[in-house]
Amino acid sequence: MINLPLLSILTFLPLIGLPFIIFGKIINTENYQNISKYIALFVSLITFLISLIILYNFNINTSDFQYNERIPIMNGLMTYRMGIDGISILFILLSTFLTPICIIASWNIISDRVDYYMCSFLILETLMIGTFCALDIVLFYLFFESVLIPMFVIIGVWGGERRVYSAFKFFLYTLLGSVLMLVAIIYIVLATGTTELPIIYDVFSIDHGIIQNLLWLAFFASFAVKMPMWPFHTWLPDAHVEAPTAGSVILAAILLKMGGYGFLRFSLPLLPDSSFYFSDFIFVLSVIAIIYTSIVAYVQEDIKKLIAYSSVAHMGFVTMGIFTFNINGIQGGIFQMFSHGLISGALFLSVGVIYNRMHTRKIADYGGVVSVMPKFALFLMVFTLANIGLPGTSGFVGEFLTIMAIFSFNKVFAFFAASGVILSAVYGLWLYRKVIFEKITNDAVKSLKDLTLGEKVTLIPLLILIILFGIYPAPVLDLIFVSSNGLVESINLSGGN
Amino acid sequence: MVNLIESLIIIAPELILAITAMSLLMIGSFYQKKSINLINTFSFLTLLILSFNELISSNIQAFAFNGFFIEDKLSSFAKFIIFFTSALSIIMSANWLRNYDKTAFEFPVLILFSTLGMALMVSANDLVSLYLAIELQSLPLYVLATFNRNDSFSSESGVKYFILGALSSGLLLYGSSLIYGFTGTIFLNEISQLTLSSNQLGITFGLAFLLAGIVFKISAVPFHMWAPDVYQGAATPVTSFFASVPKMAAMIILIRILYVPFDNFIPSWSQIIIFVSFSSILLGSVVAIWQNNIKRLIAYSSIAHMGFATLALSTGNKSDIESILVYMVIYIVANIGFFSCLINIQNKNEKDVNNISDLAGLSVNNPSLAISIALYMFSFAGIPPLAGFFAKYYVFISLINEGLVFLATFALIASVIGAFYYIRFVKVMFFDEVVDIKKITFSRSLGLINSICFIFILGFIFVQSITPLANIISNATLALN
Repeated sequence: MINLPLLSILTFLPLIGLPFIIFGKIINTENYQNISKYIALFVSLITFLISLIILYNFNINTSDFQYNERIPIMNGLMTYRMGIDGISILFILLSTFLTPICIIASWNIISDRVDYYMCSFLILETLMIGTFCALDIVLFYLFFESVLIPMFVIIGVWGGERRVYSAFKFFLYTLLGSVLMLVAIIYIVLATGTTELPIIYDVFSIDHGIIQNLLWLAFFASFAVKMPMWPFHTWLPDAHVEAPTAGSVILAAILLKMGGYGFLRFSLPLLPDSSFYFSDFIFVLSVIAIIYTSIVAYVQEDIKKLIAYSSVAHMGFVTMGIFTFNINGIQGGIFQMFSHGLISGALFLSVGVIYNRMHTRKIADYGGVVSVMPKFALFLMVFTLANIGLPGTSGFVGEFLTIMAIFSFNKVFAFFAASGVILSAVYGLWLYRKVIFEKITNDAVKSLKDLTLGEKVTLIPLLILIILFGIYPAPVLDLIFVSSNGLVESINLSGGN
Repeated sequence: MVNLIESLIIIAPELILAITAMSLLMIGSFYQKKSINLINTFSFLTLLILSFNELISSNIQAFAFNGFFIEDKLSSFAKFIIFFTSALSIIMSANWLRNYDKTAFEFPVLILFSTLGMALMVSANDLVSLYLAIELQSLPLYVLATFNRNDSFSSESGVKYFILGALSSGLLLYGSSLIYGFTGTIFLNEISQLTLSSNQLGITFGLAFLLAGIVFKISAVPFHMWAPDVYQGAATPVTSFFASVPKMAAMIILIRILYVPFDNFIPSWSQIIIFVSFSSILLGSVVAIWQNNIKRLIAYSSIAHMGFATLALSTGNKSDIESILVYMVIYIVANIGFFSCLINIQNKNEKDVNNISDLAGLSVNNPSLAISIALYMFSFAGIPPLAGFFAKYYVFISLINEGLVFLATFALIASVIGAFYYIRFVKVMFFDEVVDIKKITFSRSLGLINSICFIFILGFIFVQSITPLANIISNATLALN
């Protein structure tokens, strides 16, 4: 049991589904679409199970990397090194948890080229898990960057009307950010003579100066686009709006988190002085993100666009929390990412539910949904309140922790950040009222049917987790505490601030 | 007499190739139609055997004909690639040739002669043999460019190629004569010792002309103008040959010329190379955006790729040759793979596809071809984990190691611009609606080539770690030290 390379199994297991899907298409040419759905669901559930086994054997009392695997390949240009700590395991669980939900959510919705769709999701799952497992700086880049390919295809093939434009924008924006990071990665690799992250942590030190700042900016370019931070966020509303429901879920819940994960894994520990130097800059951008995008969200006519802007605003809390350099802030940032993954995923799934019935995302086309879909209205209410950050939902914990940390850092920024909570209530409740309450103006709404079993299956687990971690966040906080604390201590040691 | 026999043994692969080519030409002209399959098979097998012979050859360094010809690890590696790729080009064209003209036995023979020229080129050790070899490889290429006789584009491309090629040969010859005039020798390794004691200005002048001639052959800016027209006009199998094999030969000779005779002139030529490579990347990436013709687009893409490969030369460090060789191998494999897919596809009039929009909806027609082409395109764009990423990774390690961080950054940003037109292929094949049903001519050999290239590009990490490729390349790199 101990010797099994569990992380590699976890990472590459989804790929096992691919040959079966292709094989299924060859042997059963009529019904292969259903077969591929079942294969993808089965494989992703097994993957989730393995991630639970990993969680079960995970030691939360150490900040060292666990489940280490190391195979030198590529003649020293890269090492296959995997390992996880408390921060990465959380995102791995989030990925493995959401992928089956996404597959169920697409069950009856995707009818065109289902086999390709399922293959894309399985590849995407492998790459997402790999990104969070990789402990080699080049291997991380490989996974981080490869995610573009399946996501580009998912948006472009199964997206809405302007899918081509959005897919290209998504691809080129993220690629441009990432190539700058590649320069920084190569610089660090050449400076330390190794590509393995744990060794780089020990060996790499660079005086604070122009070079460290440039390296930091190169990493920032990539993570800020991915995050996305204001003003690099413009690809996100387009990508979200045009992507199919499950694509939006993965995009909001996992891909955005790669940016925050990157800050925690690279910018903070490797370049602490520059991180400190630029923290005001990050705060200003985050405050603008929180306030400006909340206001922008309020004037949106498109439901998905509204949620996309609200994601940008919520990510603002994450970046602020991370760059407070204190345990509350970092824990709050991580928790906020995790909870936002659940909440935004749930919101996009809910939008998908009504979109599939009405085929419109315009807020004005809805109204009075509560009278025909009461169960749905209940679900959406919980998710909306969680998005606002109501106490008792997981959204509250992350925001509370980060705002608390920001208070100890700088009270002015804390004031503005806290105002974001009110603003999110403004657009969140406004959206809820417009869609769910008010009079039915559109006749099509009258004939809506309430949630189906499949939709309940996708929404209930998210609902349970959102409330559970809102009332009792300790399991998550315990999981990440030691690693976050290790991160904070390592920053203080090397930075001297 | 002993000297002559030794020389003949060293040069044996080229001799065999020359004799094979000439005898096949004879057979072809006497037996015409009946012989086409025989000629194809025989030339393919000859090239394949010769390529493996180069792979196992143990020559560290050997000179033939009083230093006229050199056989070292670098040249045998280059010849391995050249022979092997030429062999693949012959199979790839066989199917196309059968549909086009059953009597066209010249095609494989011309490829053989051109390959012979390239083999001599990478082994050339003096300026005269270099010139002769370049001419021997170019002349068959001019004929190949016009091979599609009924197409006026093809004739145009051949004539253009010929005139501009003649001009570049003139430049090369002028540079060679200047260098001979100022140093008094034509042998590459002797020039190196004499450069410091000779007239510096004159040699720099000669070097610039020599470089212009060779840069023309790799179609890098500012001598790139012929490439788009020639690529577009030539038949698809010919374009595939142009885009892969001659580039390898020209790149090797560029490396040899820069590092053997002019290793004391690194500061002078590295500026030229930086200009050539960066402007190639920029022009290749930007201009390709407006292209609709597939082959024209591939021409610009190859200009950009040559720019990336030569970037690693601009460091002036001999160990960076490794990056260039890796880059070239990956570029050639992706190119061969891409063309092995493209040759299969015909539009509804049974004509070769020309425009990118002709590929619309290919993912519905033939998923495996569409996925393969998409993979090669992502690889060209340098998206990990495909081989194209590692090609760029090697080059940028070389650059940043020498402190050329800003050059690396700008080149990478230009590569993002280039990514735009590569992913356009994916968009057309996967996102667009099917316009017409394409006719896919399936051929087993093309499928085999495609799958080999596919595995190489997708699993480059494993190829690099398991096969001796990395070892061979690093040995080839050491040959110039």
